[in-house]
Amino acid sequence: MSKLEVNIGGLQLKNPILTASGCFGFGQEYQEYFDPNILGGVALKGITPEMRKGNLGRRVVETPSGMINSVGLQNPGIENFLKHYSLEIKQTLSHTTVIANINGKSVEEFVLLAERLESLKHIHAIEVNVSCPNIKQGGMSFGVVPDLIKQVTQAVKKVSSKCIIVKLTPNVTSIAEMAKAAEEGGADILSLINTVQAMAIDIESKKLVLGNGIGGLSGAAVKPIALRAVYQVKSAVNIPIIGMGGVSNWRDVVEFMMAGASAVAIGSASFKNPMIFPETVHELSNYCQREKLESISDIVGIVHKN
Amino acid sequence: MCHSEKIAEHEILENRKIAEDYYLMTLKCAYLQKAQPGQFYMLSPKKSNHFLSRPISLFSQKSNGDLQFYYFTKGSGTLELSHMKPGEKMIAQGPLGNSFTKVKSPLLLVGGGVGLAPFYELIESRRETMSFELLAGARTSTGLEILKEFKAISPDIDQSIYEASDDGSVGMKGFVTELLIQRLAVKYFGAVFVCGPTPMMKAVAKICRDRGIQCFVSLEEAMACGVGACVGCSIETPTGMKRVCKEGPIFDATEVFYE
Repeated sequence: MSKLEVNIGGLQLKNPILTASGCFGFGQEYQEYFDPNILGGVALKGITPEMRKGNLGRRVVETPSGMINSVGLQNPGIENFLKHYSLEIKQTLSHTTVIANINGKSVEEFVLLAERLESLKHIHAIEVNVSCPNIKQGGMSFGVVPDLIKQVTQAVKKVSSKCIIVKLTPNVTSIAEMAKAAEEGGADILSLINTVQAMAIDIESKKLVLGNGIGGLSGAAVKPIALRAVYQVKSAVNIPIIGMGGVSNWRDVVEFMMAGASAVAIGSASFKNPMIFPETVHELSNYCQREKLESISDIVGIVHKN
Repeated sequence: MCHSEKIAEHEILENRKIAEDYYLMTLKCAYLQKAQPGQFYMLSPKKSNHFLSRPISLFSQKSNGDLQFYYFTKGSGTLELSHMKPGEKMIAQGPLGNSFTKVKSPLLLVGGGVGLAPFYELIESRRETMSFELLAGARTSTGLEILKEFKAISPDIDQSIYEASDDGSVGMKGFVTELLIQRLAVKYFGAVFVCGPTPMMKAVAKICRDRGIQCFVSLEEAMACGVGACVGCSIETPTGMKRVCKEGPIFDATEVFYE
């Protein structure tokens, strides 16, 4: 067994490095840069029942050590996804773990999405996005109410045989409470954090920069927040965690793992450097050797013991 | 450490101030990237204070592979670029996006300010096979200094260039759209290519539509990834959402300015 291999929630990942949903499309855009099959897993862009145009106007703005986006879940909808994207994903992501990210405005919509994905053998896990902060009526209301998180998790678990990952928002009073609710609902894995609600103002035009006004902050700026969230959730639950939020290099990966993440996703840092994925896998392997680790999993949650 | 032909480190050969706020950066590139006119690169200094790279239109690709970028210091990212010195390293990701389609000559090229950038490579690489006129507009003469580079491509190019400035400091006093109306009245053109500020491109598109002339626009949009992964630069079109970085930056004007 490779030192980098990790087993979480029934998923066998060849290494703990994943792409973060929304930052890697449907896994096709970086084929000319590196083979995505070297990754532990690929989380696909969020899917909704209907096609969504997303938000109009400007959608991204750089901020100190990060960026704010208000894409608003632009996606082709589940039926177009099945018809036009699924086969390509099956062919090009054949040797990595594929995670579909689903977004509903109601429990019924989450259930519908999970049902439509059930027969696809090349989708190994479903990430239930109870936290996308960009939709005016939707995700947010689930992710901030423990009972709703539990309800939606239970409902999806009931209809899906796949590994169910619940993605949590940091825009809550206590993320540990939300994590517990997902665990009670039967989640196999938790992923955190989603973006932090934020905004930017153009002082020349005296207007909000983003078309949608409010967006989600990601990038190095949120890393300490994400790390704290992973640490708190690790103390609160017994299910594994996929940590994410501002991961910019292998050291950040190690930090998240020490805080309690069993695997780590890289998101917006890959926009400037897509090669961060193969680089991080390589550096983690070196790290294991230097530290004489038998398995990278040996460091998961280590700070809780020290 | 991990290499891809699509993203690489290059040394700056020159970062020349063309006029106030306008710069031309030359990167030493060991291999020919086969970039097409109209494509762009995501650029970032190797040591940068910024989280994202900046999408910058290709100005010129030399036969030895060297790349040139003409940019305007609009915000802190391009300001950082302007402070870079020869010998320092840049990361260039590209070439990205689509390119100017090959349409029937003669072509009428309309550039506003830094929007003149993509037309240099277009003229340099296709002038043997196409005839063209270039209408160049800017607020003041500083925005038209770059035309010296265009005129150096070959001695006869001067007669194909028409200039307009808002303040009349160089060329005709007025908007480039007035030049456009004049040229379209006296000569047949196969198509119009336009790159510049959005109001200017919209005005050009309308003039072309009224006269039944095909018009292609090169759009600018805030981008994060540059390759279509983040869909941060999507715009609405009658045939669905399009990514400026992937399906663009060149669009048929009727696709994007249809209201």
